[in-house]
Amino acid sequence: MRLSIGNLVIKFNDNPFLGPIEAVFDSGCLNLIVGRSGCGKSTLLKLIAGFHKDFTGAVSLDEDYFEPEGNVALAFQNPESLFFNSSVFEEIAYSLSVSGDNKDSIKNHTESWMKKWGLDPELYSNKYPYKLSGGEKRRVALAACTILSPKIILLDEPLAGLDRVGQSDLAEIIYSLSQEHIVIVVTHEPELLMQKDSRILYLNDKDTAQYSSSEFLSKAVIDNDFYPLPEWYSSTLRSYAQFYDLPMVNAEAVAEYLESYNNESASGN
Amino acid sequence: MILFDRVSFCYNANQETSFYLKEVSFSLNKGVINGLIGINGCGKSTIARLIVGLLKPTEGNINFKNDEGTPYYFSGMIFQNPDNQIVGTTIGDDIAFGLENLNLPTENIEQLVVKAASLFGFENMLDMEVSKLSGGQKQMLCIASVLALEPNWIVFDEPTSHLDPWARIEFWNIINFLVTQSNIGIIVISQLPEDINRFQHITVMDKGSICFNDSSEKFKMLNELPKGIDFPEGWKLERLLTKNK
Amino acid sequence: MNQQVGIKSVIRALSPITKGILCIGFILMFSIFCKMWLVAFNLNLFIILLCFYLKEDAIGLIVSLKRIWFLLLFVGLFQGFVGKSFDLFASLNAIFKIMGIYLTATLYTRISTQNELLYFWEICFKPLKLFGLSSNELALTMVIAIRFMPVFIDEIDRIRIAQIARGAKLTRNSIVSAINFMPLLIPILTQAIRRSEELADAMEVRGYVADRPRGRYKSYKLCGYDYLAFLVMFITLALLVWKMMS
Repeated sequence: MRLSIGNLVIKFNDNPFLGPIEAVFDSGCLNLIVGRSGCGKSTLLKLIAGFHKDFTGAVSLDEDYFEPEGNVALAFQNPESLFFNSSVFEEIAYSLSVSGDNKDSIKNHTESWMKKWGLDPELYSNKYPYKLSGGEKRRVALAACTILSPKIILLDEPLAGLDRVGQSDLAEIIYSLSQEHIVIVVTHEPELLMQKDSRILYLNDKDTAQYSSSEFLSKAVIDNDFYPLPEWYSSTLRSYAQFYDLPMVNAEAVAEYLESYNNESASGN
Repeated sequence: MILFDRVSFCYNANQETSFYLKEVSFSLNKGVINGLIGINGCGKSTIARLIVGLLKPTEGNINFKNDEGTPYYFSGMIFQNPDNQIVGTTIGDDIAFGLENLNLPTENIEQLVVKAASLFGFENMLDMEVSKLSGGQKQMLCIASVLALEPNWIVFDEPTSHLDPWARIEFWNIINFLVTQSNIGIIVISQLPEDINRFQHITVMDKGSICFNDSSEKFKMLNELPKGIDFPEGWKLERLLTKNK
Repeated sequence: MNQQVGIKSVIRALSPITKGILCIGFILMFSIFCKMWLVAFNLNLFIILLCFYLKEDAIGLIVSLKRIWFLLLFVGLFQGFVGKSFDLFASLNAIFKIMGIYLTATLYTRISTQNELLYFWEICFKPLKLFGLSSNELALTMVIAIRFMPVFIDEIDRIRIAQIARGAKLTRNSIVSAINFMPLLIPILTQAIRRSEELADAMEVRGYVADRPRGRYKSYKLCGYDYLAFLVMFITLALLVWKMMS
């Protein structure tokens, strides 16, 4: 599946705010959106979900005109602020209960969806959503926002405010979701979610563009103001950035990369 | 210097089972970036609230040494979400809020507001509405508003979690400036491994007690990390590279 | 409130007390002392000409009247048909009265900053001390309400969109029932409580103690123009009263 946006200009009160944006979002890989706060990232998500109507340009799904109706899941920053039920099960099943399915199918569907998000139905179903830990709350909230299992899943800052363990658990779930859905994630920490095949849409009032992860990493390592990656990464890899595909932003990948590069240059001599 | 001397705290004094802190003793010094880390619910924010006086210890004492020379004692706190702690509708109003609480004369307040605003380049924007500021600017305003009160210590509660990467760099520049150029003690609470990289002194909490309190060099040497704490990736890389050599 | 920030003019430089009293004074004039449509018309003309003279956005002010055109029409017709036959003058009088009150209030909010509005209200609240209410705290509560208005509007919008995306039926077309709105109401309430708790902590850390005397960042003194403005108003008022008596 492919969602593409062409010549898209986001407007506010008929005044152009950002664009033109050209981008494609595929299922099977993670699609990230980065940029300074206030640059229009969240508005772009709202636009795709059909809540921001003030724009020009085209949004299409697999070459067809895209009508956002029931085929998009949208989770904003701090999705746990949406809780209003007294149990985890009710919270997650809410979307299904509105659509009026029968009770058994709701139960089956909800429990299998909970498992997908690492929430054991027996343990969590009857818990009070507000009493969970930060990471659990976030997973419950995102499960609740995505349970209709639509083609397109839009997440705004899903990892913000979690501790390290919570972040890496969640990053894994999000990656597995991206295999069957078009997952678009707005984030300030692309390094935690990025994979070799990820696509990064860089939003900026001057040079909006979509990059592959290696293009993005080299550009960011060379020019810190383009995107400030963690300092250790930029300083270690600055001299490699112009010539080689850079590794992902974690210690193991970088160590492996440096080692293979050094071996190569040693054998070359 | 802040000295915690066998400080205990529980929210309900009658129930001994509901202890949040158990006889905690440690000290923090000025002149370095003090980091306070630990998993959710370990008692970090309780410590922060005790330092700024929002909570009072049930038992034990908190002593502030070497601050006798200052005219009055005050420690400020910057909370997680800048939006929830700005009181004034304009930049000037917000900076003035704390000064108004001190019941200073108008001329003094005006001077101090301009002085604090100029630290962040706000001096010509005093009448600007707060709602027009970006997230990073809002945080700077919060810091300016606390600095206007000339605090002895400032506690930052997860200050980087709401900022974009550019604003995070700005934030750490401000912290480095405060640590080196002022006599204000700095304590930063954070869970992000990248922030741990910036700390010079690290205090780790677990279940209401201190399990590590020393320099970051010592912390870096630890072989086994407390539960839920992760090294910055940069440190991990250093380790991997030295191991492979 | 649509304030134009950064414009300087004589009328804007007036003390908030003067502005407030002028506003109340003109509203009183329109509502009580205008018995003749011509008087009301002239007062309107006076306000608009004053705007032109002081380089305020007079045209914008007139255009803003379109927001209440229906009210004006309704009041005009209603007043006109009170008697046995249509009374054009009574109708015009009512229209110009409403127009005048609207213009005065709009102009007042345009030329005052939020600070000035609050300063004046705080003074108006002073008598409430007799009932044990502190005017200072009331004013601060209003500051906070105004300060958090945009934050709350954003948040309500965000929660609404997110719950609709989850399938909640919050549109106006659906049958409105309290249960339908739970997904909106409960999150808004919990968020508001969370925010206010944090705000209370932040205020306390910055040394706020209820009922303790506080200093003032901005003070406003009366100057020459203020007295002139009072003079103009009292002359107009006196003329109106004299006209009514005779």
